[in-house]
Amino acid sequence: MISNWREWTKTILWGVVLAGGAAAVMRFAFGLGVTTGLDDATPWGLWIALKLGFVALSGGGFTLAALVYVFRLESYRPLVRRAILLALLGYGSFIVSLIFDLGLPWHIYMPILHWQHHSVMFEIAWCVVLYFSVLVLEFSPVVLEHPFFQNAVLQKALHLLHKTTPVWVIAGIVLSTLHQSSLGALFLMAPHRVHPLWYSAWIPVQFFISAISAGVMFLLLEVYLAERWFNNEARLDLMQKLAQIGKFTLGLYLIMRVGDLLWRGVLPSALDGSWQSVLFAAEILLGGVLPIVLLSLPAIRQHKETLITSAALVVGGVLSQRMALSMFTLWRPAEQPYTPALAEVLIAFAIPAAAALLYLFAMENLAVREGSTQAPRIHEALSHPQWGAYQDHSLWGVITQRSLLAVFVVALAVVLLPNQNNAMATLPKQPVQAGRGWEKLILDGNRASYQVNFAHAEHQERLDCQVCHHLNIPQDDASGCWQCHSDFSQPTTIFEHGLHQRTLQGNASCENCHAGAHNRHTAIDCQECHASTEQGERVSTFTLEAPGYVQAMHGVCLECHQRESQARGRADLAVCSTCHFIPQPAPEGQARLNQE
Amino acid sequence: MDLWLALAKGVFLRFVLAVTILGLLRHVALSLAALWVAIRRAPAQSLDLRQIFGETLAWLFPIRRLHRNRFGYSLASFLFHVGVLFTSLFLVNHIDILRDQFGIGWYAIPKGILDLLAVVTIIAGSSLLLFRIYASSSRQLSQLSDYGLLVLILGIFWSGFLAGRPGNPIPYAWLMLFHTLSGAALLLVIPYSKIAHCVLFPLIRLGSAVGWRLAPLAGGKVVQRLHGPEGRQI
Ligand code: HEM
Ligand code: HEM
Repeated sequence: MISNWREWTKTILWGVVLAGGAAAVMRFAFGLGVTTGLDDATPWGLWIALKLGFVALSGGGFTLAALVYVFRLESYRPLVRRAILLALLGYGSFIVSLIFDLGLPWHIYMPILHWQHHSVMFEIAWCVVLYFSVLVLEFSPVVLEHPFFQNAVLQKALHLLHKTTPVWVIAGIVLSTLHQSSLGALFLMAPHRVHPLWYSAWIPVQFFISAISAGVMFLLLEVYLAERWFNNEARLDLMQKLAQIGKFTLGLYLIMRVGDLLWRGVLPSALDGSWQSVLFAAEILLGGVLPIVLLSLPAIRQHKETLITSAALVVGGVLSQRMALSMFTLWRPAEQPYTPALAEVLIAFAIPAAAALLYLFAMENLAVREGSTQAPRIHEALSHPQWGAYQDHSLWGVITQRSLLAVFVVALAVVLLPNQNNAMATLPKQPVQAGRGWEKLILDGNRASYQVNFAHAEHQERLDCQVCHHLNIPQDDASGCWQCHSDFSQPTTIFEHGLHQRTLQGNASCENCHAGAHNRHTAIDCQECHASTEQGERVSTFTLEAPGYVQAMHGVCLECHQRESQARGRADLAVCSTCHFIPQPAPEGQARLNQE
Repeated sequence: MDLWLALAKGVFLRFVLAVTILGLLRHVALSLAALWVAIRRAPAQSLDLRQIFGETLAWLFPIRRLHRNRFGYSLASFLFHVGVLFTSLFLVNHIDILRDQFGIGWYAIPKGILDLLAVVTIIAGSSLLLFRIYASSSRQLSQLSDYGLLVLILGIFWSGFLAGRPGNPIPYAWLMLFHTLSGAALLLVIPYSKIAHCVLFPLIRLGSAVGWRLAPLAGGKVVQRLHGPEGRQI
């Protein structure tokens, strides 16, 4: 059974990963529109912000590689492997989260085949692919050293890798520099959407320098936490060195950031007390100025706890910059705010949790830490001669406990899965707006302005009322569509069993509506009692769930329009624009707009 | 009340059914894995799978084995199981709800037959309960959960049966709420109580066949369990 906080940590991480896995199934089964809060106004949301964060925290990889292999600062060597591991996981997370974000994830290889030289995305795609490959090469010696891979061919490969290390390292430094800054360059292409306090023509450079700072500080945190995990003492001298680099680059980044805002005269007017300016001030003061001040005090530098506190502030500040820039403060129309959907959040937590589990696996089984050795735990457990001992073994306990966890987490996900009746049911509830008008009925159920001007009077002349008014609310004679199809996309129940039962004197009344057995198939139709309700064909009460508005309207109109367009050979009768149009300003208004 | 009913037939039910099914699958997977590891370690590794399968089947349909000395109990137990399985799996109302929630459904046995079966089950279940209370050997071996589960199942059957009777004095919605919540409670505990036997039963023969093959010492835990840590005789 799980006996210590390490196992508990892993179990919780597994829980998060499993929950995300269930959300991932939804994401790929039902698509982005249904499972995320993203839309045309906010095509970039939580996942993008997260991606920028992953890449920023990977900055330690190229920094340490440069320090050791280019500048030959041997004292940093004990940190190289773990820095590269962090970068590998950071970039891996980037790629995984990209797969979630792409509408057609199976097209992810496209930029490699189809070159769009002018696209920043093209540069980013290539940098990610190449740098990730380089990271794999840089890290593979650590894997190949494991006893499991002791065979001649692999050892040859290992030797070759060792000999060519400088080539990979330099390639890695160049590529990641390019990538860090090109991610920033993305935001130069939409200057009007970036909030003035985060905008700068220097964003690419800011991204690059702050990635060094955040990456190094994250490494500092990792060193401290990992050594605690393994009941070891982190080396204070190494932590201090990292803090020094982090402080210096952070200072540089802050000067660039604030200096540029001052130089362009943006700062005074933008600090207007809005929540954005408060966020900005917190980011600069708490995540920038404060840690610099702290790290300048010798007393702070002497203690690991204060060092990691400062490091955490820096990491928080840089993450805040990435997330504020790409998500919180990015401009979007006021009437279309963005809130991440549940599936989005679950996946956003699951990716770093999975990375953390991989990290722990690597740390426990490979020689990543200075002087660490590995124990082949699984084999030991399986070959234990005594059955009882095997059952008591922690591995068995872990398997039973984790699978129990999996049962409950997946069951929770099943609760979230959309109702089989209708995948639309996962869409948020959206009450339908009533139509307006009479002769010309303006229908715009969700007020999105893709409206239909329904020629009511003209249809009335040609058709029976009940083609559309097929069911009425009791005592009404032409209920509007939206009265029953009251949600834009979700089906709604329109029969209240409890209400009927209460009004008809409880159990004694069952037989009023049910003939014989008591279930929905034996229920009588509405108009047996409510004479005025139904005008068209009879609809059985118990199965009566009114489809969503869109489905209902398309159902009635399209069927007839398609039939007529076939019959009369008029293709224009059954295309979207036959009914839908986007209202334009009146001609004179349009002319005035053009002039202006 | 209507809301609670809708929840109990909706999200609660989805969760509970998922826990039941996944939980039972987990038991099967873990047991098979444990058996596999065990047999790999046993000195004699061959198993007569055909014989094991045959014996399992024979115990599953205890037609010829209704014990002579406890005929009444065995008969009640058999009828009780037939009743539980058929009413819970083949009742129109249940299948309708499944269709709503998961889009799957299957053949339903006519409600009239199941009404009768429900009565039979209630009688059989009550006999099992009485037997447990009055037979001293059973009473001594019983735990609280043995009574609890029977009472729970009887409650589910009473409420389900009464809900289908128009004119009974208890309001329909109350009965249904009781029925769905206690039904959900039963489903939830199925994998985590002795009722897990509904999937583990077929593994019992296999498990014993493997168990005999293990080296001595392997049963240390069993002996400890039976005799207590101090080696007390039972
Ligand atoms: C947890 C979810 C459950 C739901 C939502 C549910 C729902 C229902 C419904 C709607 C009825 C019909 C009542 C009527 O006639 O109006 C019913 C009857 C019944 N249910 Fe359930 N049930 C559930 C679980 C169970 C379980 C687990 C069992 C058995 C172990 C069970 C056994 C019965 C029986 C015996 C009847 C009466 C059949 C008859 O008299 O013909 N139910 N249930
Ligand atoms: C195919 C599946 C099942 C098989 C093969 C099976 C088999 C058995 C067997 C062999 C016994 C011992 C009876 C005896 O001593 O004569 C038993 C007892 C019992 N079973 Fe099942 N069972 C199954 C499914 C279920 C289900 C689905 C439930 C409940 C929802 C259930 C509830 C019980 C209970 C409550 C007892 C104890 C009866 C008592 O108190 O004496 N079983 N079962």
